[in-house]
Amino acid sequence: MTDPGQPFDPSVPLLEAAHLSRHFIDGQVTALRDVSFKIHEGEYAALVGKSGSGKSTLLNLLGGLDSPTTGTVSFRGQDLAGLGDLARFRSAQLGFVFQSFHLVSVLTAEQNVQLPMFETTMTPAQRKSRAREMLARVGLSHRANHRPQKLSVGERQRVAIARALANRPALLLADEPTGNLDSVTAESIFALFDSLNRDGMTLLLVTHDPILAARSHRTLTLHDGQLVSDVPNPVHR
Amino acid sequence: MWFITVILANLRGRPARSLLTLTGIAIAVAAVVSLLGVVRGFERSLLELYQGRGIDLMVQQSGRLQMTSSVLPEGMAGKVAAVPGVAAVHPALIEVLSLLEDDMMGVVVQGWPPDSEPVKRLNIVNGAAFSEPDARDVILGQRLAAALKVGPGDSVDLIEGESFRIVGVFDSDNVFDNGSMFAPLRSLQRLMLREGEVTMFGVVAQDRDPETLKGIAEAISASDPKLEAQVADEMAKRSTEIRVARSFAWLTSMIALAIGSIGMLNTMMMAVFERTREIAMLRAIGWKRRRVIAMILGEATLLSIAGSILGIMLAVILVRFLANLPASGRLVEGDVSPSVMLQGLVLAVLLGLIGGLYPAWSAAKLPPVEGLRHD
Repeated sequence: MTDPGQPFDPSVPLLEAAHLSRHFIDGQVTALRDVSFKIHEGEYAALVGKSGSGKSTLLNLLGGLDSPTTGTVSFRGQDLAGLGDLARFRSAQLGFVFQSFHLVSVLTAEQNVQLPMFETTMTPAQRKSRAREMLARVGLSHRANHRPQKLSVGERQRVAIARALANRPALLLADEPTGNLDSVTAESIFALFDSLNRDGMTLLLVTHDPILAARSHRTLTLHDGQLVSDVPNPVHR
Repeated sequence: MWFITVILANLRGRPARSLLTLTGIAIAVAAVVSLLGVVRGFERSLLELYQGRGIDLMVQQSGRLQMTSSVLPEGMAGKVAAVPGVAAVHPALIEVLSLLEDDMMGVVVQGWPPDSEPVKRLNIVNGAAFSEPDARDVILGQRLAAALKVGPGDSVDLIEGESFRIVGVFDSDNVFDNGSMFAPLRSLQRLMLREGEVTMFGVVAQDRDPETLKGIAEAISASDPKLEAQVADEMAKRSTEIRVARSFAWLTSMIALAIGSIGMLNTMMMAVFERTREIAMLRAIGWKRRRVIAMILGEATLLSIAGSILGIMLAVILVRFLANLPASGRLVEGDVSPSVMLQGLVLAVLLGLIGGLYPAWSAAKLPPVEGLRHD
């Protein structure tokens, strides 16, 4: 079995969806139909589509949170269905950013960033140091000891991004990361994603936001559960 | 940050619920520790009772579970005395009376000959011992005297219209003794219309080696089918009253624990329900099921430990309070032994684990996708 954590091989896509379908309620509802695409290391892709087009369902399948009815999701050539421990895969390889941030309200920003690190062999001191580093990366060093309630929505999303980066994942998956933000705050998050990608991070964002989609290198469009287009963005052609 | 910091933060973040659950556990543990503590106190007192009187073996009517229901002819003392290894035989009549005038139920009155070992060993702190073998005199334990508010020179009606003179007050470390009274055997027999009858014989052996005592007990039991002899401490352990009290204490404790467990179950279920999205997020970012279980069980266990410490403190206060009450003070020792406290702590932790197990399991098996959609 190939180790999904194996060193970078440019010939193997980082993530590959092959003929993915997902049905619900005993096959009566089809959320996804025969979706195939590849994401390579260092790419910055946006997944767009109307509500109910299957974007979140696809993201859940790609992130190992759900299993396809048919088809496969491979990470560095390894079928996720063959990985016994998907929690370990998510912890080591993926960073998740959610629309509603999902920060733990009783923990400080720094403690929230440390949460994914509990599944690593890091010591408490190493966790603290890494969390500080990640908060600095998103420009929130000065807010480390604040609880989410004391942070602005933009700061909360930055903490959530710092948490997603905590275990130095290979791929960042974001579901409507600017969906709850005003345009000014959203712009700062776009800039952060741009900067992360320039540093080599692979990103796949689900978004309604045409501005965010346009800033990515490639836009994949879903319609009624089908991938109807997969095009590079003009500025990156 | 240590993992326990997350657990503590979750508990501190919901102070009202944590405090209510903790109180529920504390009450359950207080019930267990105080009830078991009282029963253990009884048991210890009963054991010391015989040993402190210089009695090595007790002989009662065979087949009687309760000592007070045993009836033997006093004349059988000679038969017991004839068994090799027996140094002395002291006949005794034990009656449980209710002093109606003083509204005091279940007072143990022990009738012993004035020259018997148990009477000679009484530590009389006020007044004197019996004057004559058939005098209508009594010596009261200090706690009983305090409860009745009497002393030497006063009198007490053992049965309505049957007055006995209080000649002395004795002190004993033993709560049973301290809550009872001694009367001359003859006068008690006459009062109860049981002349020539005794409840038991207290036997003093020549050699106190446990094996020898066992041998003497067997020889006495074999000497007459009416007689059943037991080494004194065995007798205490097999006492029906103690067994009933112990069963009652355990039964009540189990009910208290069940209620505490249900409280914990409810709290942890609510905690899991409220935090469905948070738990789903933790699973999504890579937490394994066992870590989610550890978090929920950790919260339940910490609540249990804190609750049990509070419960033990409550129990100590409660038992001391009971020991100082006139109605119960004659029978309750003021201390709770460390072993009973430890039992309370272990039970509370078990209670926490039982109450937290199902919520933890249901949190762990929740699919992250479903949890993240939860409102």
